[in-house]
Amino acid sequence: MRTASIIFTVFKGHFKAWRRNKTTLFWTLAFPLLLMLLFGGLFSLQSDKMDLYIENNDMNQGSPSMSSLRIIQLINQTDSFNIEDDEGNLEEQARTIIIPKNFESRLEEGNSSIKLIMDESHQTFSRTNSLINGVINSMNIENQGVEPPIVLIQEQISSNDISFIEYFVPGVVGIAIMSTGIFGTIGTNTKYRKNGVIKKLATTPLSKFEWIIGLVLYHMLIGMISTSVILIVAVLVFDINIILNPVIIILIISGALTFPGLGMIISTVVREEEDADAAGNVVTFPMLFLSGTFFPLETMPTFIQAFARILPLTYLNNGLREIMVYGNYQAALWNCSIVFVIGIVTIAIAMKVTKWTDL
Amino acid sequence: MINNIVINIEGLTKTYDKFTAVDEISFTVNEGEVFALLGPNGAGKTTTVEIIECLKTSDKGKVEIFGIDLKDKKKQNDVKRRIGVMPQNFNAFDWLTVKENLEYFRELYSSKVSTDELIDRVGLRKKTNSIYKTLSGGTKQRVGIAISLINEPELLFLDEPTAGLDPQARRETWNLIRKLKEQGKTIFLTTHYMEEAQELSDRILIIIEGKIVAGGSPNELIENYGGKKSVILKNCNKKILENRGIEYETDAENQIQIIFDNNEQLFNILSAVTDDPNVEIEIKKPNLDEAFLNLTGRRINAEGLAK
Repeated sequence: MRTASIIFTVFKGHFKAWRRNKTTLFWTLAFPLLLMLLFGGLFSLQSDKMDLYIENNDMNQGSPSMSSLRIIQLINQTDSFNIEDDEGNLEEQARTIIIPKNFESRLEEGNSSIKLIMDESHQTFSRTNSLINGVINSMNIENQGVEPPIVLIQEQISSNDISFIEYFVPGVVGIAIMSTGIFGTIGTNTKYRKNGVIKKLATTPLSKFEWIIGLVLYHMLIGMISTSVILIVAVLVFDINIILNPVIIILIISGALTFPGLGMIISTVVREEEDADAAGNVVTFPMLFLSGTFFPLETMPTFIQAFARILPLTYLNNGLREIMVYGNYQAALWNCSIVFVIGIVTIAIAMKVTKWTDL
Repeated sequence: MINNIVINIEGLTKTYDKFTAVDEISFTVNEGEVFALLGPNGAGKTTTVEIIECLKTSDKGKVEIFGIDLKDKKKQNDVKRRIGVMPQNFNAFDWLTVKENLEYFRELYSSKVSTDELIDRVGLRKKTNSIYKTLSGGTKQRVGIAISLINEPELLFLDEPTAGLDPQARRETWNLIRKLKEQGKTIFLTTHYMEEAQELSDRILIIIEGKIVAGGSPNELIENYGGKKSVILKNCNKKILENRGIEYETDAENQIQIIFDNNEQLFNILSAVTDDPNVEIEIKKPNLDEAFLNLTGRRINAEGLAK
């Protein structure tokens, strides 16, 4: 009970200091937001067109039928799609149109159809659906307004194709948890060591364990606050779908064990407050770029992928992305358990190496 | 009256690699006294006090606080609850107010001390809700002392409590320490300021290069090591002195210095020069500075360096 009350005192002290210090507020809240708005905005501007795969099965003596070519032409005229020939796995393609065999001959009979295969939960589903319906209506009007001879058949698939911003937002959350944990802890520890606070604390009944746990709890709360702010802004500005689930909280907790733990380990070798940022950069910089924050690991060379697999941010990013974007609980929990184990190990090492005497 | 010993140090030694910071020192501190460890920077003061505060481990020797041997790590928490410490160059939490800082440390001790009462005791009422970061150096020292009193300690450690303060802030801190002394606190002071040690302490231990070179009350140290009293004369005709058979020395600025042992000799000197209105007279009493110089051959400057 006494330990809990002491831990709460430590936690409360850190939180009050965070609330009042504009610099830390900027780095924990404004910086991730700026990063998200900057990169999100930049990549969103690149192209508004959506990839659309078309499988044209209506062939007449080896050539596509005139009607099938016309419908493809009308789709193209919407200027909303990058039309690709269908090849490969359907599940890798966000949206596919299938023009069936005998499309043209059935059109003459007034009962033709085309099939749209797409994930209904995908953020672009309704836009795609209405565009294709518009194309069909135009085609129907061209065919003398007969009661719709072509109907659109929808087929549900789950798709892995997401926009840059959807990919990036979980990475921003990961960066926020990492940078607050590492920079915050190194900065706090070196500063408090320099100005005698740690020495003073060590002369009180406060134990090293209580101090570290108080610090970790504080980082958990900051992680949750910054995640909430990032997600709210992401939804409001970029209109993206985020799947909210308690696994996100477990991931934040795991991250708040791992990164402050790393920060504490690093601060045992960084003696001066002035060196804190440089030391933090040495650790955070590689993680920032090599943990799949901006681009998928698969796009990187094999040796970098291998290196990325030893970085805790990789698993935090993967876990957050799996749950927030794909709703894949199993994969999220697997990544979460890896981050959690790394967190427990780093905190255990931090407890061991943090000095409370002979400072 | 039998003095209760609160600190008992025997043969304490601490080395860092090949450097011996504290070299087999022994001393005791009695209940209710202000005890000063005086020496230049690097003399071993802070190492000694930090071993007593449970912040450092010793290599050799015995350290007992309130009769508890500090080698018994499990009992160190009992000691920590009964002592108050203001470390050297101490700062509290920058972004907490004075009151919040006091409440923070009160929680760590589960202390029942009223923070408001303590704030009044150390004269911080007007600064109660000020953010620590915004306070002046002297006020910060007051907060540091208040924090070290939050558990009503029986023994208070103040490590260089006025280092870096301006003269006024230093005087204010001294007054606060005097008040605590009046309240019967045992105070262990480490300082490199001669005047501070002389003004505040009941007993002083002079430490140089990890070794104790002398100890006693300020008066004892001055009496034993401070040298003799002297009269300094400016614009004085030496012949008058020679006619009276008074021995003198002259310094580089042609000032005359006459050493005397008692009031009779002083009267003889003064009566010799009293008729000459041009003579400037200064009576110089030895102080701790002189005692330190005679003991070590060095003086300590404001930065705490021995020269």
